[in-house]
Amino acid sequence: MVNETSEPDGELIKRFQQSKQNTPAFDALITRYKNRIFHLCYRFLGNYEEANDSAQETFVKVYRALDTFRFESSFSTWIYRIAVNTCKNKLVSAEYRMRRRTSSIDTPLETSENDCPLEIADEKAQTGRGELEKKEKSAVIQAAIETLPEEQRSIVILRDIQGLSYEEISQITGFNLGTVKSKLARARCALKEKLQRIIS
Amino acid sequence: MKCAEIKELLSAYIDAMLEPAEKQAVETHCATCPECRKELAELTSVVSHIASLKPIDAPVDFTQKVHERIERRSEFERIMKKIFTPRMKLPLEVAGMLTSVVLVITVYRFMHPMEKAYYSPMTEQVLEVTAPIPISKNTLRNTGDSTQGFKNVRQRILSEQKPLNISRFSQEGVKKDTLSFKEEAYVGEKEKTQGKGVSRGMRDEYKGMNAAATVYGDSVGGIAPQDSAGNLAFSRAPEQHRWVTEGNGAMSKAADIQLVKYKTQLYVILLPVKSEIIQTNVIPLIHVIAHKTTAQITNTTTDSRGITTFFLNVPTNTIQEFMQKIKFIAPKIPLPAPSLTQSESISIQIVINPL
Repeated sequence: MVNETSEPDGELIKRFQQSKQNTPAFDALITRYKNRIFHLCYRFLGNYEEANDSAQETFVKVYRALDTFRFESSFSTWIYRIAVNTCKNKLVSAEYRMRRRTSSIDTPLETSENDCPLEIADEKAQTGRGELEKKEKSAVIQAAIETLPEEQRSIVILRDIQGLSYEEISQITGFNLGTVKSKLARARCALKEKLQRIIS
Repeated sequence: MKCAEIKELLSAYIDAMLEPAEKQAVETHCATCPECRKELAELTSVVSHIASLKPIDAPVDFTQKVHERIERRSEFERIMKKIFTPRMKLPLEVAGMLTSVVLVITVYRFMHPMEKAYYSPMTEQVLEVTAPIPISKNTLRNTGDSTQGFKNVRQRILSEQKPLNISRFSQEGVKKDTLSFKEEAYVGEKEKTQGKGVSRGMRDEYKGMNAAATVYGDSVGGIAPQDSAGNLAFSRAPEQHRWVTEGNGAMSKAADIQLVKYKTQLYVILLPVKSEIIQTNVIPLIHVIAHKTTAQITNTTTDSRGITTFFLNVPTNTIQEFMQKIKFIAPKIPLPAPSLTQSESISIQIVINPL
């Protein structure tokens, strides 16, 4: 387990580039970004295993390409771009589509280290019910996100879940600011229609 | 601003990404428009709901799994490298050159599928082995019946004219037979109105000549249709000339080529005995002629009788060269008068099994 370090991304990358085998520097980058990337992948794909696979793949790609990183953009923008592309590739992969078709029944609504318990103890019934409702709501929102076209989906996730700025999203997706703005507006509008039951 | 325009701006308004004037317009409009106010509230709610989604963290063994994956990938690449890296190092320039050569040959062969045929024994012999045997028209007309005519002509030819290069591709043992065969074929073709006996005889002889291939060239003064208005040079030609070519080859056994020149057109007629043989040779032959003369082939057609006609466009200034290249045609045929045209259109007919 690598502890969080305050060393800037650039310094870690330089250390990695100086010595390809500098695992601590790379591990520090993993530690810093793994949850953000994992969450992005999960919201994009809606499946824990697929998200795990894509997030791991993202870091493998980073490891292999970090030597050639020229600091023309921030590392954060770069890794997000890799992650978004990896997720898009995953979406079109035959393996993914096949798995989605066959595993939707046994995939928990909101899986993490705390799976939804099948039985709720009496004393926890109230909080459990609230938790269940929350998870249900999350599942509905997640399902709505998954209905969005890939580009709108990635922009909504980057903006509303990852909290990135329009400029950062523009750099990650390659769209200009105006396009990011309009695609985001369209995505939010579509989500509003799908989430009427929750927001009203 | 109208509601539709305001609604376009609401998303950016939530993110505080509007210009001050736009922001002011949205606020002013929403203060008086309940519908847009509702829209803004719902959009804000959507954004906050999405933002409130519980973060999903990576599993605890995530870093370890990433390293395992990197290791696996590296191992795989190491194995692939070991398999595909040659023991002996080839200089990059040599490897590049070899690849280029292979590529060029492959592309060339792909683009010129007939090229192979150009260099087959059959096609070479058609063009290269030639020998003119001029025969007077009177000689032919003297033939009483086909067999007698054949004998007369044969004797006449043997005594008067000997083929020059006739055995270049033939083995010595075949030479004599081939020669007599050619004479028979000639008579058989010319005197075919007298019956098919000779023709059958010719076929029989062909069967006995597995190794020999014979092509007859015939420049035609007498054969040229007299009613052809455009028959210039050859209608005045007093002699009918016949050439015989031969060579080895299992595919081509015999053919009779007749050539007629009308103004700017030549007709070459191949009269093979066995259609199944010449069928395989027609296309290569066309390409050989075109290839050797650098002429352009156009309009290749085969009619229901099996007569293949094609046109060669030969530049006027190279027509002499063309004649020389087609050796069985060239020696005795007067060239057309100098023409103002840029090129001559030469029509060539290949007639299959006309007997």
